[in-house]
Amino acid sequence: MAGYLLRRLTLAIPVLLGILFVTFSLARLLPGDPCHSALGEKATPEICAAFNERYGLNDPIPEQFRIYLRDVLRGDLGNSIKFGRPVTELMVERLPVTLELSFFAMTFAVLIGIPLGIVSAYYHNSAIDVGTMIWANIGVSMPVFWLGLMLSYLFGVALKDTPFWLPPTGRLTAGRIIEPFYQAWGLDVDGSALTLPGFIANINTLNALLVRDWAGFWDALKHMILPAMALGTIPLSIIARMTRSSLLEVLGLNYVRTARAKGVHELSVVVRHGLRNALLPVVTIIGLSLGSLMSGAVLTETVFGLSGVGRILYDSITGRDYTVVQGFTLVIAVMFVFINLIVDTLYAYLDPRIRLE
Amino acid sequence: MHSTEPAPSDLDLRAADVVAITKPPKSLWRETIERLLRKPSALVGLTILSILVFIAIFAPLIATHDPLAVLLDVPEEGVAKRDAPCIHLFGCPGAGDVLVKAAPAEPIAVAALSSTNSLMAAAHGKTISIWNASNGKLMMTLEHDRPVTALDWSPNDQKILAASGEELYVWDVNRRALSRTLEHEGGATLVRWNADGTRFLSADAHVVRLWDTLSWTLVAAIESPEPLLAVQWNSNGTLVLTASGNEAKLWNAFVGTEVTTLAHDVPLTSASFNKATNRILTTSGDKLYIWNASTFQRELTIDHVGTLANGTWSEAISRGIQNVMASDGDTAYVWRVATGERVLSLEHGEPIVQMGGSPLATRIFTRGQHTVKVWDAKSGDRVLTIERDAPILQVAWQNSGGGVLVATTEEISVVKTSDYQYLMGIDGNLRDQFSRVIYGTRLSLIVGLTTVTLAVIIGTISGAVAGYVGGWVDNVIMRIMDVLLAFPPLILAIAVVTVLGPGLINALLAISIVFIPAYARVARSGVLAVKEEDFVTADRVLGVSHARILFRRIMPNALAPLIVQATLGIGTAILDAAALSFLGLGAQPPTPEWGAMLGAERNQVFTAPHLVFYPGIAIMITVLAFNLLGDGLRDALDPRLDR
Repeated sequence: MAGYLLRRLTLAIPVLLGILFVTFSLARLLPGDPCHSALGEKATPEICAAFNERYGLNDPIPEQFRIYLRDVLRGDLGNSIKFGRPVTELMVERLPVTLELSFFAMTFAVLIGIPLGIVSAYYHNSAIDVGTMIWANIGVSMPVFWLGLMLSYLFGVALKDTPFWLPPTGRLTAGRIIEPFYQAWGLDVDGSALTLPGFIANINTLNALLVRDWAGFWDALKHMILPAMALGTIPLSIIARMTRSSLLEVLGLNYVRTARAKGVHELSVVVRHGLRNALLPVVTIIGLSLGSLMSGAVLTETVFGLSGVGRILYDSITGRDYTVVQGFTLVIAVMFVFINLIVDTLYAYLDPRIRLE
Repeated sequence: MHSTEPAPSDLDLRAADVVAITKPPKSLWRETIERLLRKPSALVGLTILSILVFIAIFAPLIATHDPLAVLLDVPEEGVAKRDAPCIHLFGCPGAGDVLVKAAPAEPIAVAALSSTNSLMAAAHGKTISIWNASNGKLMMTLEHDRPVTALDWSPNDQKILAASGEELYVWDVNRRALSRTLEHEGGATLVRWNADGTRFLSADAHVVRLWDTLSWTLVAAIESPEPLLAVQWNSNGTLVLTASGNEAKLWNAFVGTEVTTLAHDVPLTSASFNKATNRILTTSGDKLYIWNASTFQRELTIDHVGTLANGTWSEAISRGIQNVMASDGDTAYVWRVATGERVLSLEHGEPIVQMGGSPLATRIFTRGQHTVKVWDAKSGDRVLTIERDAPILQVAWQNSGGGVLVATTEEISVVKTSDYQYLMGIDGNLRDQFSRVIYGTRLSLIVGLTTVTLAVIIGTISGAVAGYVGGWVDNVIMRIMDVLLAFPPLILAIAVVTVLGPGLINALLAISIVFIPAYARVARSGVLAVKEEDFVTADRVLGVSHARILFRRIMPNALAPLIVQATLGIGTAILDAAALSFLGLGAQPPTPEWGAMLGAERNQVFTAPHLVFYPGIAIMITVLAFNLLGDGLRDALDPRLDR
């Protein structure tokens, strides 16, 4: 197991270097010279010379790449042109929202997707099965942003004045404040968004749970339902399809036939014998979807007005804030690599056959 | 019947020297297609796709409008921004249909649509009733001590000005309260706000009073010895035009002094400014005059046989149309100002008492005692006849030009005059949503096909070469692919477009780049699977060139998974292209691209959901079709998955 992990980590290093090189080149490939795009059209040649000197733009490319690597390893992704603050700070500040959103989206997808897949496989080729698969097909074909807009219209406007109404934008109802947990607990810590307590307090639902503010928790959760549904629908469809096909494959195996022959109840055959083995590929799919949630988060956060990582990425795109786009692309890609690594390792752990290869 | 021959006695199965291969009864392609056509999902996908291709090819025939045309420029009057769609099943109002109607108990004296056309008011007896002009719901009633003789809306719909007895009442519509009372001795028969709401005038037969609405004081009183037959503001509220006897006069609205007098030989029958207030039209006796409103010179004189009255304009300066019209008994005549020639004569059938040109000069109404007729301003064809039993008091165009307010003594109603209908509504730039969605099909299919074609070509070549050559070439190519795969697809595409700059072509390139690794991997594994087979070795021994071996002998074996991957990839490419356009990185407005259409109107989703709904559903259907077809193809090409 350790050997496998080591091998995978070694294989990840060239990929990580490649990612760094891509993000590095992105900044160098920008149209126009970096000085004018950073400082504006009015920068004089003297200022530009100083700028190039300061950011090492006169150095040879390998040297520049070395400096870039050094900076990234130190956690320095440069300063945002628009906000004038380090990109790392912006990232840490906005990450709680995206984490919260991704968590609820994935929970939604798993809690509904797996049972749907099981039911579909259990009633194979029945109307339920066909219906579920049609919906799963439609689910993966829907643009995330469109689904988000439609959900916010449906629940925010069309169902207004009914018990089904849900807030279409924002994270909390205006005016509601959930007391940060470190204050409630009387801890004497720095609560800025860049510290760990601040980071945790920024995850509204978790913070509300920690301080047992049930009204606040419900409010934060209500604001999360629609974005999580929008973001979770594609993973949900994929998970349902995967659960179904994997379960069907397993149910055709000999040991399942044996279990049936023994007279085990059909439900028990499917859930206790079949599902355990069938869930292996589902775990992979869940992991892979977790990585691609980041793409969806850009769109979902834009639609629902959540100030997360995706939203700031969108703002930076529209505001031509290249350092932020570059830094965020890097961080998201690295996260994506590590999530895939974890998923592979988990898979190898769960399925001994993989390790032997 | 088949007969089985006995096996030869000397057959050695361990070392067969002759292997006879019979040709399969059907070609592989035919078999695959037949299997594909047995899958209902693939059939559905194929059907939807053929419909989409049909729509894309015949888009100009299916679309009702030019997708880029702003409908007010076309012009189609009666179009409003973000108009809701008209679904024929539920019945769309057409020309002549009454949109709203209100009938108070007492006879109506005067009525008016509010400046933004969202409210309508009518004075009946001592009361003014105000209705919502879109659904006819009664909003409020304003009570007075004496019968109301005149009323007018302020430009922003905030206030209503009413004359009742010897008083002028200014009502605040928002607060539903009286905000001011002013005095007009003798009682006013006409009240009018100027265009910016800073002044208004009240007039009776001989006196026009000018009021300032900031200090609520009387600015001036203009007296006229002979009865006034026209009182009108110019468009920026600096001049007042009055007509009485033989003279039309212009007055300074700030101090009430006379600016000029336009003298005529015989008594005037009408006088009016045009919309831009650079010209004045007067009719007197058998002549129609057009005056320059800054030099006060006569620019044009039109001679007519008969007595002209009710002179008014029918103009749309942006389209270069400037016509004047006047009535002579039962007939209305229209002249072109530029040439002075008569272009139309409209037979109303009843003595005409009022005429009006629609805001964009596409229609003209003429009003008699009991009928209103609406005419096409270009051809002179009658579009509509509106009949009322009670005498008609006044008729006015809606701002949009799509309907007229008809007020009789018994009821007021808004009647639709335009017959245009819009299946999917109107977008925020006054374009036909249906035509844009139809044209969007073209773009989406093109985007899907080109991105995937590009990615397949580059991906297949690099993957095939990597697999065939092996060694360090394989390593380098596949590590590059690994790096590209390490990015979430949309994020990489966003980063690439940010560098290349927004635009459809750049978005296309970015998506192609993102998709390359998928095809490279498939091609490489296909090559690796058959690279060591005997037929490849045989070719090599025969000295066949590497390129020929690779692309003619090996690649066909990897074709099936590539086709599946490409079909599924088109759907994803369309989704990603739409997402990029939605973020403003792809197709730029006014291109009719679905994602861009969604992005442009996403802030209006709460008020105009149809503008978001239709493009989104179109994306979904297209992607769904490719996904279904791809799934079907995969099952058909790989029978093991068939269940």
